[in-house]
Amino acid sequence: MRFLRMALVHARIAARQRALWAASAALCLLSLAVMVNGGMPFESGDVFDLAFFAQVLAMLPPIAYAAACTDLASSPARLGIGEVEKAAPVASVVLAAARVTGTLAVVLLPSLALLLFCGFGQLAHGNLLGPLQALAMFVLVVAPAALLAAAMSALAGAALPRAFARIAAAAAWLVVLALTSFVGVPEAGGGVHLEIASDPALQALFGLPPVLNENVAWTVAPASPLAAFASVAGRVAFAVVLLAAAGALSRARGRRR
Amino acid sequence: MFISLDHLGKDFRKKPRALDDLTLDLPSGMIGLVGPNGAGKTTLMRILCGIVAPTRGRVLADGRDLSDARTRRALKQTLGYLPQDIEPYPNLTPLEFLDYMGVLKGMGDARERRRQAGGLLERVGLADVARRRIGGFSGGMRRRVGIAQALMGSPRLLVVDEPTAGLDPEERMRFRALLASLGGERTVILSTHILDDVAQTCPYVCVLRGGRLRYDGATSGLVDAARGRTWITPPLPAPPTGAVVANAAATPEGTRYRVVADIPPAGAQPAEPTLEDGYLALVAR
Repeated sequence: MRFLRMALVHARIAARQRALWAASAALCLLSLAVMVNGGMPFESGDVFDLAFFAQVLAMLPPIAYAAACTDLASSPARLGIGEVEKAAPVASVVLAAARVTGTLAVVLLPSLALLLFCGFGQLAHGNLLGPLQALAMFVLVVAPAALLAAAMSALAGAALPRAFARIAAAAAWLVVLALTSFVGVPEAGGGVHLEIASDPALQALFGLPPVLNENVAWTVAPASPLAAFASVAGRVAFAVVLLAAAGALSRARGRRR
Repeated sequence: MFISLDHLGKDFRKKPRALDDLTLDLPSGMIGLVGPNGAGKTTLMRILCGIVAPTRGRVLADGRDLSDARTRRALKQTLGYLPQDIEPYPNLTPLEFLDYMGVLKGMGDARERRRQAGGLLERVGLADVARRRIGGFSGGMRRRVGIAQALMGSPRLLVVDEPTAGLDPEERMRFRALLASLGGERTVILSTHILDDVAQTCPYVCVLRGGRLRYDGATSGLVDAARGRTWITPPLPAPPTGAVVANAAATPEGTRYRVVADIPPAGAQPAEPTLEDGYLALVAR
């Protein structure tokens, strides 16, 4: 209960940063707009459409989180409130977790709402598991991506002046996307073109092909359940390491001040 | 709460020793902690609050050693801390911020938290802005939110670092009156550079210099450190050498200096020492 109360306060702090959730909501709508050419994910009963939308949600809105969460680890030290929090009978790791949970709960709300909307839309088109699938995609794909983007932002915020940190974190997120989201597919006449790779968790859970395009032939094998688990756990673990580093860096800088 | 420091020492990497062999029993009530910059006041307060661990020695709170994690946790539940530089979260209202501090201090009952928060805001004169965001407050109002958060959970030990720094005289008086009203029921450690604040509120004072204890005892006794060593010079063109200047008054013939020195400057007359003279006699040695 105490953790939830702390998280709620940090959610309130995040929710009052209008730019944060406004940018997040705008990028969610942009993600939906990206789907226009291929048919909206709530207009079909195909889990493939839902998965595509979830992956776009895991790629675009985190640009906003990367730019906006630079204060996540550094604000307590910068405001001096970190000293008061350290003098309270709460473990600093619990407090940091509550801060991250609260902030992410707010910024992820538009993504969750849109994904569930599409899940229920699919339910109406005959996919009885649509809402549950949407929820699973949110937990396995969208939330870890948001956590990773926020963690990168927190580390940049702890290491750099805020304005530079926002640019650096957003740029770093785009680099991560470029390196991890695409897969080369051979063309019939020779050469290779890039397609969005489907998330290993979605491949293992929903039987999706390795490439998020039903019209292209793919040569790589679909991810195993173990690879899917490793992919999700790896992203979360990497984000936790980044957040821990950001916290340590902020504390060290706070002591120097 | 009875606090005892036993040969306490603290080192930081590549820095002069912050605290050096501090042994001291602190009584309950208002305790002033004074000393020049770098004397080790903030380090001592951070150790007392369980934020940093001492390098040597130990701190006992009611006879229990703070090096034990359970004792430290128990102390933190009965502790209020106001650091020198604190900006409460600007997106929260004072009520929400105090409620958050109550949650951090382990107050489970939401109604009790709200009741205490409301009462404290009334006490620090912020009841009328209780639902306005802290971001729009003046420095003095934010400082008052700071002291209110330190009082959440009715702490038995209150540690306040430079609470009146940067406040206008009216705010300072209000703050002083508030602090003075707190000492009766708990131990309050007040660190400050403003000796007048100590003189008005603290019957007991500790003077630190270079991490070492120079004086602990009744505040009035601090004056004795400068007794027989306080002088007023005749008008001079420059401060006398080998003396600590406590004050200077310009006259048409030159400047008349109030100094603390073992040997009186030529032509100087003895003067009745003040608290400030006593402090200077201790820290300037």
